[in-house]
Amino acid sequence: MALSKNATIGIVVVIIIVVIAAAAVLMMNNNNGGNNPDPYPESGVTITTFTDYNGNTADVHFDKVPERVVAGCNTALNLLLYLGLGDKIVGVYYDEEDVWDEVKDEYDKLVKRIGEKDKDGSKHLSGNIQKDVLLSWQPDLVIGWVSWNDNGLGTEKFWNDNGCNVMSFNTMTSNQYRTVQLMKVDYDNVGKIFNISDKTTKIYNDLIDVINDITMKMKGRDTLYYALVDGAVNTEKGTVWVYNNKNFIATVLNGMGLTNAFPDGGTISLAKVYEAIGTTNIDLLFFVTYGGVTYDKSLKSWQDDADLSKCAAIKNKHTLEMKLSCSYGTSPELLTALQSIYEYIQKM
Amino acid sequence: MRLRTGYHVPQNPFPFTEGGSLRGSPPMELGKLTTAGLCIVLTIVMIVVMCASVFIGAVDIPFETVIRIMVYKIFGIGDVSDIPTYMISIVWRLYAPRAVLGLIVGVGLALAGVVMQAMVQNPLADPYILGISSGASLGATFAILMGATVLGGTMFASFGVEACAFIGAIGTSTLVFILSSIGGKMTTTKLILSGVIISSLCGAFSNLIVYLEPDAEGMRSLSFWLMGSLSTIDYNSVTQCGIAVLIGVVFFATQMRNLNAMMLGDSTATTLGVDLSKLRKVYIIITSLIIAIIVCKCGIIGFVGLIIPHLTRGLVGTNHWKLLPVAILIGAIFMLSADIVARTLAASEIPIGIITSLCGAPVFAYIMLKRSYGFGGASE
Repeated sequence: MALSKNATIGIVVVIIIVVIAAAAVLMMNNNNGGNNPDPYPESGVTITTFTDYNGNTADVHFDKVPERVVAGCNTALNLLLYLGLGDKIVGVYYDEEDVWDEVKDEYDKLVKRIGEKDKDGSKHLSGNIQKDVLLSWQPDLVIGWVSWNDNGLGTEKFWNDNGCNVMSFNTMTSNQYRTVQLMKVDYDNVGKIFNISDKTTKIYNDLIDVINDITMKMKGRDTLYYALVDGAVNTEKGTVWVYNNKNFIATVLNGMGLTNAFPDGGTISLAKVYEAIGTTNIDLLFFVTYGGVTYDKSLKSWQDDADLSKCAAIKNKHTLEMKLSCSYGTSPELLTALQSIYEYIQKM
Repeated sequence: MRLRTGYHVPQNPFPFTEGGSLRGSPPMELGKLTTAGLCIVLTIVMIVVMCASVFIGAVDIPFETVIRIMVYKIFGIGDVSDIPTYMISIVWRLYAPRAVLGLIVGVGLALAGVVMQAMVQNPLADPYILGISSGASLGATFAILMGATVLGGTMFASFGVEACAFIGAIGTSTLVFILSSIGGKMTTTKLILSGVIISSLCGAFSNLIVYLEPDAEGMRSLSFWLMGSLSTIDYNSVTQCGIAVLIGVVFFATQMRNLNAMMLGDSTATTLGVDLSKLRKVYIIITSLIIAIIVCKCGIIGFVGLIIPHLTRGLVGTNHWKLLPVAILIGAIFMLSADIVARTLAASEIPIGIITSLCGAPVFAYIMLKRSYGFGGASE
């Protein structure tokens, strides 16, 4: 039986539509497949982490993506939340800063799940943690602020024996200059561990773009002296604690063309600070904040001292808060913090 | 024979082998409890507190679960497959060694305290009087704050805080030993003054490092270490401390007569045929090793070695046949109790040195103010 011409055209059209639809479905599936992360390497992932502040390291091996993560510092907390890994967090300690605006919603969700800071039964501590408590949270990865040795929370081997990996960020623990190169290693490590290298690379690149952009804009400016002050003036001992040029944010600020008034940092006698005020004129003061160390207390201690209050930064009210996590680097909060610093400097 | 302080030496030159006290106050009335009875009671209390130390912690683990884990681990009896792994780790790898270590450290500090006080005939003597704590502090301060700068890239870079603290402790006690031996006999005065000199030097160097080193994180680690803790412990550390303390206990158990003689004063002890200079050297070596190992593992835990001997004298008098066994039992009980408080009082662990000082100071004040209490010995 011969088909009519119209019937033949109709069948051909239907076949074409079916083929196109099938191709579209296949393409969509392929696209979805493209969004899926690459499979975790069969041999796993190995990173190197510092185990103390003396430069000793340990290799840490991951067979699979960690599912129960403890954030042991605000840097880790901010990064995990910003990367959308909040669901994997089972506990937090050393949460001693105000939450970053960019991750506030994720943070609130997390607090609902693990509990408010320092409440009974909460897995959310503002300060240090005990080893047994940390074990009871049953993590498979702890990203901590303290060292992984017997004088800290136990060795990498102890935790490995308990089915948990540990790491600390290079920019927080290295005994060398804590540079953006070290921050790249941190982002690469997190990318490899969670199999999200595209995301971590993007954040790192964004940070570098911000730094380069500000550096370009700062070219040609007069020398600007700054100091990174940790805590209030110790009036009893007559000293001030300032960060040296090895500190992460100091390496970034120096790269932007600013000059650290106290390159060697440490505990500086007030006499030395008075001398620096008289000779180099400190234009900008950063007060590093964490826990009970607040911006207001630190600023007041400078304002209350007759000689420190003569500092240009105090007289001109050129003082800024610097969160500890930002001063230590690797925190994605630097994306906004550096921009704020730049805008502030522009107005000076 | 009449002592320079006006007290008679008993007719038996070593009366303390038969009980009684040296001089000063009589011991506290303990009813009809003999020293042996007191030791049995204290041993039972110590075992109870030690068990409590395993059961009590920041993490709530059911009593029955702890028992099952301990029975399984010690005797291989039962099945723990239904117990979460983390609970087994907490009980067996954290709480149990910590309890044993608390006992050992308490015994070691009390033992060293008793020996030091007898050796230098000074009620203010403690295990750290020979500069061990300041030497260990210097070593730890160096390792935490400057180790990387100075040792980085060398074969010593992997030296941890413990190793540096141990070297510091042994180094200072050796210096004290040498300094107090210069010019002949090692006397009490020379020993104490040498300890003060070396301690001052070590303290100055520690302060210099702290002043020069711009490391906020290191300062946090250092302050925690300086206040002492039993938290960073494993069975290796327990074994090392245990062997050192056991050697000390066994050795000093044979030295009761000499310790009693020392309390009578140098001239009397010498008259009684005791070679004080030689004994002091041996005692210094042994107590230094004990304290150096304890300090490098647990940091500086103050007050225990000072108050426990005094507290015990208040109970049983100054005769070392009674003083030493009772003191080491009370030392163990005190240390275990302080550690329980240290890890349960707040969300994060409080350094045990703070607890021992907080508890120890009032007890010490009470003992000191008690009108009947006396240190004993010839130089009160």
